[in-house]
Amino acid sequence: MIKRQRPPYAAIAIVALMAFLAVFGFLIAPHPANVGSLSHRLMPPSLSSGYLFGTDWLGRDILSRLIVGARVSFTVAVLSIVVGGALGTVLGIISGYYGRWIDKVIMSLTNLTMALPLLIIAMVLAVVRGPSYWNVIIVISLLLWSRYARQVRGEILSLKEKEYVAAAKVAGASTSWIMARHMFPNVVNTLIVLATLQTGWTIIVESSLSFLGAGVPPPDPSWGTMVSEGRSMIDNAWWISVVPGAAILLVVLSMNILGDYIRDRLDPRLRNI
Amino acid sequence: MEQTVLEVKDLRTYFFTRRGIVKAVDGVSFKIRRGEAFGIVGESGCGKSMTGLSILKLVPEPAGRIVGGQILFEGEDLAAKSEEDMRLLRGKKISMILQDPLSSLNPALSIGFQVSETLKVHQAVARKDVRQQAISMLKKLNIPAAEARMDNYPHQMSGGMRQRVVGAIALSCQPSLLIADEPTTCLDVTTQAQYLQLLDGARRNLKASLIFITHDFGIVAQMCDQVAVMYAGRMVEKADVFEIFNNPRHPYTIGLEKCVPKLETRTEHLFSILGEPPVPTALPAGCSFAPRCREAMEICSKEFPPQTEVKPGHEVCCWLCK
Amino acid sequence: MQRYIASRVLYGIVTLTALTLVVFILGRLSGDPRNVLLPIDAGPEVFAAAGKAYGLDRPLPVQYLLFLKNLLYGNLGNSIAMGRPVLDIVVARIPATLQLASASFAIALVIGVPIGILAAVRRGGRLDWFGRTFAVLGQSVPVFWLGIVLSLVLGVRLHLLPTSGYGEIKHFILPAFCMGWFTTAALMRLVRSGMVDALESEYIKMAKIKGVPPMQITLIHGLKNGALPAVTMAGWQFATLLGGSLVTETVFAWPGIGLLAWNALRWRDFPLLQGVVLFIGIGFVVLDLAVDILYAYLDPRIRYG
Repeated sequence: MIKRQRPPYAAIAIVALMAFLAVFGFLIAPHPANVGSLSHRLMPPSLSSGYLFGTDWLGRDILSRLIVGARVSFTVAVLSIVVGGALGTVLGIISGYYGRWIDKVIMSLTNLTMALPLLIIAMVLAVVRGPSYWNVIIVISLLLWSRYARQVRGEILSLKEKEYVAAAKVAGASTSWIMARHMFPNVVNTLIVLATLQTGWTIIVESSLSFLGAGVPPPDPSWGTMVSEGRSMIDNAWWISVVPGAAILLVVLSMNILGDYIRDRLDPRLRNI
Repeated sequence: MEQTVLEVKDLRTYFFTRRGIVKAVDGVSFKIRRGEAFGIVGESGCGKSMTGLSILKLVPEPAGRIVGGQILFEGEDLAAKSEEDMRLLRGKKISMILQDPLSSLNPALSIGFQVSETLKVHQAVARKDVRQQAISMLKKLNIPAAEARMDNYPHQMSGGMRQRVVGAIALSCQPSLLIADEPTTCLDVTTQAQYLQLLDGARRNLKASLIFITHDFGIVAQMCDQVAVMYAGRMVEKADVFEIFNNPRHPYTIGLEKCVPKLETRTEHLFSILGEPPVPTALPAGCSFAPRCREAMEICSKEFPPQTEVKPGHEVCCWLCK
Repeated sequence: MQRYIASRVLYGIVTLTALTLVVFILGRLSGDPRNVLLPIDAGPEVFAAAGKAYGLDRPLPVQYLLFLKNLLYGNLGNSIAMGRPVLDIVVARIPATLQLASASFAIALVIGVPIGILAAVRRGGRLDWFGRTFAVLGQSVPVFWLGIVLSLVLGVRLHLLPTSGYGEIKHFILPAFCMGWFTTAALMRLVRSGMVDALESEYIKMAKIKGVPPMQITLIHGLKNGALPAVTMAGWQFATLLGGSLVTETVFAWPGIGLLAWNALRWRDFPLLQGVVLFIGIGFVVLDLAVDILYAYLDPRIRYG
């Protein structure tokens, strides 16, 4: 396993495609994603009809919805990781650097967060505030932050002892300077690895929440919502549910493979995630 | 009559790595008689541990392999034996003590289990007697409250006591040959002496032979009847213990002997051999010690010196002795 | 060891308290909690009476204590949609979920652990490759989709297994397989990496020196240490399973608390949902505690530390 691996080209291609679609997708979608053509309802996938993956019960093109859905899932995933990662990193650095009681407090918070059933709390939030993008982002960030905090704290603890930190202190550098300029750059590798490894999982959580109805609000077509919508028609229009789910599988699989590869290249110590 | 328990002939164990071939053991030969204590001395990396592991055929695979030579144990060539046959010998007729007792004992299993295990696996004793036999082994190694200790775990004992447990495990099936690989390196000095005495007494009782592997020339003087000095995978000098100390002939041995501080002499500087052992993948041609040797001659860097018997029982590989 | 268990119990209580606080805050998020706790058609007298009962005229911390007191007495309010006490409804559904979770976990253990051990012992071999592929797939497949596809293929098209229902073993098969899928992959990975580390240690070398047969080395010497990381995570895995029950029960109409939660969401039935959250939280804490105790028992350094 320590052999030099080839970069996973297929996975990279799929992830790149998804990123591209997320940003520019709306430009190339063949049909409008939220408006259906009633004369073309429930058409099965075919190469000739112009509806590559078929249509749903409102006549909306599945492929176009898939493309727009890419943006939804992608946005949520990226934002969640950014928010959760930033929160975790900052708290992790503070926790590791200052130690003592603040460290204990922050570490207890991570334990607490991990013990809470956040998926169902997301459902509660959906009832209380109605479904919204921010519900999902907040919940997923809460799910993610403790991982970052712990990992970063561990790194900081070992970096603290290094000589260049002492040298900087002697030279009169302020604490925030030391944290920003000396510690953070060393932690970046870990952050990259964690972020890539968690993107896949984040997409699954988001789509699960959307499937349950506690995620992205309609009519925005999150892939999870699309799967849920197609359930009642599974007998005669299987493509409505199966195609978006397959897309999720493909993207998450690619992200996981890519994440493993990046981890092996950048920081194999994190292998036991 | 003194039988030969072990005869090693031209043993070669090589490691095939990406950076080249490491000749960990490169043509080692020696003979051990029943009840004899044979010491192998040398610096880290000289191949002494790997010699011990090779005898047991536990060379780490897949990179390492015994590529040549014979290992005649009680007449049979171990090099030709199958893995299953070797397994039956290990722990029963040949056993080994490793350096660090903390890591050689399984932290999740009780002492009693680990001591009894060898007895059970080799069916040395009837099942009902296993526990009693285990306790009596612990007692032989002077472990106090042996019966209570059976239910203890390794982390509950001191380092010295753990090493004694390891000794008890090694001797429990009454092997003919015990290989001790730096058994006292992880012990503090006061425990060392005690432990060595115990171990030696126990094995003598069993009339077992001993291969004592160490980098400490001083210990070898106490424990061993015969001594071999290894350097870069080869034995450069071999003799009985008095000869080696009174009449060392190889410059490396002379250097090692000088390194041991003695009470009678006053010095201001501790002696040390200049230079470093060679990189295993880039051994110099000729005698491997030549770059560090004060008396190196031209031929030393060209050809490896053949084995010369300077006196009966005293063999040296050095051009100076030819 | 007693001290260790006592501290874990204390920690569990703290966690539960924090959970109640979170739930309390969630209820108050939109302002007047009566908006979410009472049916839409509740009359003004009911509204006023509820106001007194929740102590809405008192300061917030007091309201919280009132809330806690109610919880401890088992008073979780009434479900808006079903009109009955939440406690009764939720408790009635717990067995079904526990059965499903246990079945899934059992599947994960029976498949994941042996493959993990074998993959570690035959590192680099075909089984290892198969195991690692399965592990990656296992963590990439969305469970709800897997359930739908399997239902479609095995249930609707091939009529091999029922796609919903409860009561016989055949009803367990599809849901348990789906729910256990992720956990099987995770357990397999954990066991494999734990075993690989254990097998590289000195005491394994020592066991070989003693002449212990290879199977005994793997299963006794190796597993006892190698399984520890998996055990630590096992509690978390079971908790994830409980979370996964939300999705699986929804797909297969399994009458457990997961399906209950989903219905509660659709009906906007806050009291019911609140009850489910609290019970799942309790479940998490109890599981964590059980795993901590198991871990302490397995690792003698803690037991006799």
